[in-house]
Amino acid sequence: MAETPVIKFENVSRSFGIGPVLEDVSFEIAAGQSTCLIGPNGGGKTTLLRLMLGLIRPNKGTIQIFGSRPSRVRKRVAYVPQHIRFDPLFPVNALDIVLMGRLDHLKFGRYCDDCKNTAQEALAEVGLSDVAQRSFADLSGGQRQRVLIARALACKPELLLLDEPTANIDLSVEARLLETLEKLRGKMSIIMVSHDLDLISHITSDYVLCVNQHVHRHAVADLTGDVIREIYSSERRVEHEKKTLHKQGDHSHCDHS
Amino acid sequence: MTDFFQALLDPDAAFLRHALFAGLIASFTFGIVGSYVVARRISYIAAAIAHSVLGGIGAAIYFQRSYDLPWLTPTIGALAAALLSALIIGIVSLTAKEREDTIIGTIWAAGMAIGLLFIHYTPGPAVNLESYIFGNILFTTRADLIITAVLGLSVILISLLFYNKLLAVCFDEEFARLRGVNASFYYLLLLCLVGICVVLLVQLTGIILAIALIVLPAATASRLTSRLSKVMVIAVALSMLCTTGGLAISYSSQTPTGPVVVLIAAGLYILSLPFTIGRARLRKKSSP
Repeated sequence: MAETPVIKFENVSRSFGIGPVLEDVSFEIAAGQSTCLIGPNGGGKTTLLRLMLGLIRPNKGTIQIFGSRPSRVRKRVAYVPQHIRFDPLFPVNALDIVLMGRLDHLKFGRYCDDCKNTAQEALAEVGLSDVAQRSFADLSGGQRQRVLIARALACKPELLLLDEPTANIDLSVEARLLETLEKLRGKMSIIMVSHDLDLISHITSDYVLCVNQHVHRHAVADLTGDVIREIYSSERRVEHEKKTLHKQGDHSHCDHS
Repeated sequence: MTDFFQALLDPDAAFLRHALFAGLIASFTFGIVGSYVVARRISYIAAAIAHSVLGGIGAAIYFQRSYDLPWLTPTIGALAAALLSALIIGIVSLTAKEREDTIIGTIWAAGMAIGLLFIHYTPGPAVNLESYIFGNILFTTRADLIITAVLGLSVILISLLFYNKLLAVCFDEEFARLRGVNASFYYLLLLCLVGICVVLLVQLTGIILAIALIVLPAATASRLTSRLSKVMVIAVALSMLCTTGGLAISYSSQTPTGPVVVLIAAGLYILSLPFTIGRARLRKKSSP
């Protein structure tokens, strides 16, 4: 029997007040595989991640993570959110935040020594051991982002979801982060939202998922400048979809016969 | 000021000792709960709960006198109103986030309106509203002291037991939820702690000034340190300083206690402002 896929979407639709954000989305990510989500802003990438986390439910269709409902397997999944949507003046230090990754092991009072060690290891993994006691407010944007990644690593996840982790950090930090992610790729599945082709090649050499109301697979090798432009330009989105369907053998939308 | 300390030893001035102890015990709750309130930026919720307490006080006095229920004291009414308001605001803000400010305003005004109506219809001698609105710690009785101690201890115990979970929920509710923490429960728990804290404050500073003692010591402490547990310790110490100092000054100068306590807290906060500026400069220097 084949291994249970990490993620399986079947005919999933989700709309918010204004209209559908995702429509009839079906895809599967096999066990142990990592990939990237690309697509224009407002295309539904973050919604897709939130569906995977079970933070929102689909209007139609089914979602399985490790073969179960997303809300049932949350402890095996970790999430690094996109924005720096945190109050920078909140009184916590870096280690306090990373320890939150061990919340599911906490009953009352203090974190156990094991949890503290795990948190320290996670901080070391992102190269921030020396600022463990530093306040969140005193860290740079890149350091804050890495603290959030360390917090996700402290969860010891089997599936790591990252929403544009490099959006707010400089190049030298990015290089280091990529090194970290590449190392982690062997241990867990990584799904990363990114616009950066360079980055994508560090996560997957196989295919990416293009998210823009619908979800299509693209081989990384096919991601030429033209394809990228098509994906990101909304006027040409329809055309792009037709072509993709054409490639997949569905000619119902094609102009030629 | 020395006459205050002499009076503390006077066997006939039990009221002053009661007031001092009540202030010191309650300081633990202001310091601890206030730190959460400042960190999570919910001081407006605390203010709304404080004002709505008048509804509970008015209702308690009305039913106590109309139906001869001596056990139904204003403190019990205040506690019930504070917890009810905390739960209503919490549940509405959890289920319909965009309406949070509306419900805060509604609870704030409706609570006071209910209180004023009940007091209007209360039979018997006129109710002294002023002591609830502006507080009077010098009227603290032994029974009040026991209630203060019980409520204060429960707040301290809950805050210590659930410190890390409350911290996580305040910092990032969504993440806490993803890690299997019942974030809604802990948010409501926090608002209930705020409610209890407010009830203790009503006696000390009254409804209107209550918010000052929840927010100011914790805000001052936040200027001096950047870790919630340390903020709490400093805020408790500052609250003790404010309540004791306020009591001493007001006793010596024959002025109302509540406003003096609040002004000391406000003064300390203003004095702390240069510290943040100092830290910000330091940060600029150290970062490349």
